[in-house]
Amino acid sequence: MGRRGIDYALGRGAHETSRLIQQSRIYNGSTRRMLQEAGVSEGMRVLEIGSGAGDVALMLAEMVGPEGQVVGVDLDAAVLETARARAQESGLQNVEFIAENALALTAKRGAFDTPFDAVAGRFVLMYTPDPAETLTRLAAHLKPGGIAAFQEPEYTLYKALSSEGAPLMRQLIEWIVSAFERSGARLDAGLALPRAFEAAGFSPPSLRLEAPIGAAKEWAGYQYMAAIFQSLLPRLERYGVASAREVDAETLAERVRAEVLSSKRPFFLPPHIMAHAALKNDPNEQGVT
Amino acid sequence: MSRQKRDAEYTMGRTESETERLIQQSQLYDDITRRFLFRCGIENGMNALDIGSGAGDVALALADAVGPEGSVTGVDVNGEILETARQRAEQAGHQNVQFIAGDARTVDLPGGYDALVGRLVLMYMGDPTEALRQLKRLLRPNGTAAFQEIDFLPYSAFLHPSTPLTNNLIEWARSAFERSGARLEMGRELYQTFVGAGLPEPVMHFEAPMGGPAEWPGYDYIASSFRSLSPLMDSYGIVSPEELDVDTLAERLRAEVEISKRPFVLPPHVTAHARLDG
Repeated sequence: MGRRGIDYALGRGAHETSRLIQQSRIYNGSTRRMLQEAGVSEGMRVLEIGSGAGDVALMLAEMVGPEGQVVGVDLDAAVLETARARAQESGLQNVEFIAENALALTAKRGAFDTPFDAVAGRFVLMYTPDPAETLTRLAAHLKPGGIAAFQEPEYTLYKALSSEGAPLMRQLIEWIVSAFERSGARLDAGLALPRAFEAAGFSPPSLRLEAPIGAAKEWAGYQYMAAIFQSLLPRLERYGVASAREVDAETLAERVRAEVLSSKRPFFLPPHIMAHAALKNDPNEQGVT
Repeated sequence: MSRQKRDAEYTMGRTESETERLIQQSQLYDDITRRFLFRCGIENGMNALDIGSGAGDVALALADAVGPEGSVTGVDVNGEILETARQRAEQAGHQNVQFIAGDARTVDLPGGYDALVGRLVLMYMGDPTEALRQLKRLLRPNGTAAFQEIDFLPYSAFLHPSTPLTNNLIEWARSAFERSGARLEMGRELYQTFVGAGLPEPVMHFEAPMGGPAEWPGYDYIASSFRSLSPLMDSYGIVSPEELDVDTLAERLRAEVEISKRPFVLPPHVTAHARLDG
């Protein structure tokens, strides 16, 4: 099965790869803590889906150490070249990347033959038509008692985070949410996590909601917001949500910063929900909603 | 000091069950607080001041962070609840924690603290900026101010047709806090409060505990919160004790989460910290 009708709204290419790396600087702290709390540890064999530029896989490779192993999967073979180059630069030998649909992992190359201790992903289930089904398929690659840890955005909440007196923030959030909605991505991928975990045979997950926020003269979030719009722009135009002139990505970071400093309201980056749990022991309970 | 704007009535009331609620609250939020204190650089040997100590949970977290070489002073306007805080500090084996009954803005304190910390306290102050301006004088040069406050605003996004009980609870709580004069957006106001008080721009973070599992302690915590809020809600005419029915509330909420499959999100908090210039 493919990603029925879901378009990767952020597009593909050098801009998007650079955005992914910026994104990881902002979200990595949360991701690392989720993975630690989930119990990812030295010597584990971990499957990571939707690797992109490889940030989560590289973090996992460090966490599992030389005795462990990480297999990163992404549909986009080109971005995996960046991921591989970054793994090499970091001197990590225990991570490999495979261009593959996470919904249909085949045993080719043997990478998926041995069951994994854990499966993880960041901002990826939002692009799958049915997160419960995706997790169920991934659970089949786990050892008994194996772990799942996912961090997904919650766009249904994003609009409610905009402050009064900050019209640019409100506008940007509306554009982002519209673009993802039009692309067919799940807006409630975060809140949908507990249901997906349970359907796939995992225990009820530990959950946390977070959002990066900032309001300083210097903050990486302004530039990151501009990077999001640089990646989204072709879809925003195609969907008729906003034009390049309206978005004006070149000056966006500066305008956001100016609004934050004059409104004295913090800027919210997309909120995300983190969930982790282990497979239930009784196999008879698996797959029961 | 001049206090033109009046403080809010303490919305949660002051009862034994409120003390119990504060302790439950800390089971759910201490994780956020402890990581926050770590990010702030609160460390061994520091001398910290905790504003609005209540049952003492933040002071206890601070005591762990500063260790036996450091010290913690907790201040609260409610002298009675500090008895609980003192007992808990003693039980935890902390010799270096003291509690003082009084208003931190006016009570006589020696100053020179390495850190000034508060959780859910500026939200009840009539003029948080003025309060912080006063409190900042108690910090030594390079000292750190660190506050964790509620941001109730995004709760509107959690209203959902499949969760009528949750929807009611959110609206009732919002009305009660608003009527009592508490600041429900204190979290996102921390930036302007810090800067307005002459502190450097704070580093901030937004986070909320969430639950879904049947054994999640959040259900009992919500019920305790409404037990504390109930008298005020009744007197404001927001909801009667009969309709609220706190005794069965945790169970009804658990059932709603289980049936709706929508996880329950506790009030989000914003943390903000800044270090004074030397």
